Amino acid sequence: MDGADLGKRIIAGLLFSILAGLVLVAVSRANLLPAAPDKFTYDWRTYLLAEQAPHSRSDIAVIRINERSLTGYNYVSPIDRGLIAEIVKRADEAGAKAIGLDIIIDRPTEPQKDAALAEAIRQAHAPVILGAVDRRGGETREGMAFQEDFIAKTGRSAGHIYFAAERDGLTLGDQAVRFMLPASEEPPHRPSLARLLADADGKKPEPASPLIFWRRPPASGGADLFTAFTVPAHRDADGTPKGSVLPESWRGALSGKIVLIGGAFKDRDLHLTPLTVASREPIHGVGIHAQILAQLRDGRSIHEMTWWVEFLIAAAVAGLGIYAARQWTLSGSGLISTTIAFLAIVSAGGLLFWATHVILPSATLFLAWALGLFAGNWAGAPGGKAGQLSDNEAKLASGG
Amino acid sequence: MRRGQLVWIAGTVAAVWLGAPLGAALAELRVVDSTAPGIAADAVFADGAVFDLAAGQKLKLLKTPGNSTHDIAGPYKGTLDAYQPACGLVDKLRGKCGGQSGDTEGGTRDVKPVMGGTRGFTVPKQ
Repeated sequence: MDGADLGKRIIAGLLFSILAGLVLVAVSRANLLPAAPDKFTYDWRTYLLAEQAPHSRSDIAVIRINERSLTGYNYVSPIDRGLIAEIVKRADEAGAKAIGLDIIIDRPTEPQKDAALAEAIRQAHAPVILGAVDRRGGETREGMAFQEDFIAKTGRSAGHIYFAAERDGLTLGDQAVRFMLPASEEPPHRPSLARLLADADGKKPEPASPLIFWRRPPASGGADLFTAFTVPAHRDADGTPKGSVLPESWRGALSGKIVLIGGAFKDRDLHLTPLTVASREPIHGVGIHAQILAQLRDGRSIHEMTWWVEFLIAAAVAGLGIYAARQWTLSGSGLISTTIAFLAIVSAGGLLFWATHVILPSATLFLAWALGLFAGNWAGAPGGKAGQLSDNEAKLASGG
Repeated sequence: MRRGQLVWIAGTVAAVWLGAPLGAALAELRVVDSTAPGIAADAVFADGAVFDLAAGQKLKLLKTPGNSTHDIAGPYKGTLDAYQPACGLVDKLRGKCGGQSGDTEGGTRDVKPVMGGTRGFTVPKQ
């Protein structure tokens, strides 16, 4: 091969790499790339490399209500509003900094109890933020009307309780929660429950991306990431009261904290997250809101690449694919070079995430590599594959 | 100096020396929830108490004055501070490290997650 021919091949390779990078980034931004590589690598690197909190948080507490909490009550759904009112009062008396309700109030129950809850929220000394649904959830007009009326009665703010699971345009979602959601584009334009709670004592910065920054609990002593209580059974099965809704001894642990109240039932509000990718054990929504709240209060972010950085890396990987194909594929080690490239991309993604919390777009890079290999094998050689084969035969004949 | 005085001084020094850790040990552990027979909710233990839990038994403790909650799952015998849930790489890959909810209710159930109070959505790439 003479110098001019080599120069032409290099220019063709560069042009192809640039084109491949541009096309892949455009398709990626349109959510048309297969999400599996990104989900697989993102979930596992989050699970394996998520930061471990150095100690339990001193600013957030979670109060959960489960089936056992409702022993002696006549129904479990909706949660007894009289009980919620009592919990709100107790948390407020304990000196909570703010109280958040991850509970949907979109239909009437017992009028006295509905009124008691609205009054408890209205009378609380601490700011109380209600969780709210909006049009994105396909709520009924009647449900929305009841909710808005209830919120108005309390005179308090409400934040939406949604988070996002999936952004793949080609397949059904897997329901694993990975993203925060902004306010609804339709009125009422409410920020999220976690955002309003995070700002309870002053505005906190917006994260750089909607990806949730998951944290693991401290390593030793079995410490929870957040102070967490489950409301104990406080009635006999026949409904006779037998104890306090929130024991006195818990009060100190709620003082000065943002207290999130939510359900922890066996069959409701359960979500898979990257932290549960191995165990497949879903966690309750209130735990996810607590993670988001902590992230917002700390100003932590997971960073995504801008389109031009993604383009540059994709073009470079496509170029490397062309080079690898020209060097090794026809000698039978294409599988090895591809395996090495796969491991390199996964490792680089893990390292980048661990060191800088930047997400490498795996799907874009895997496809860039495949396109580079294709181009190197079929389009890069004169006469395509056949020409390359004859080149190799000539090399073999000459002993080269 | 008489022998009695020496004993008194030594005793005072020892008391002061021992007093510091005793002061630090004012921390206590209150049982928030328990599935262990013989350990009732609201029972109080000293910070260095040794717990002996059989397989399947769980304790949730409130540690004061820091006001943090802690979970211990059996089989385990030892203090809270020494408790280290097994979570090496192999445990992680086998899904033995659990989630982050701190929910002691446990009991993975053979049901698909049902969308409840909080719901999932498609979000456009930013």
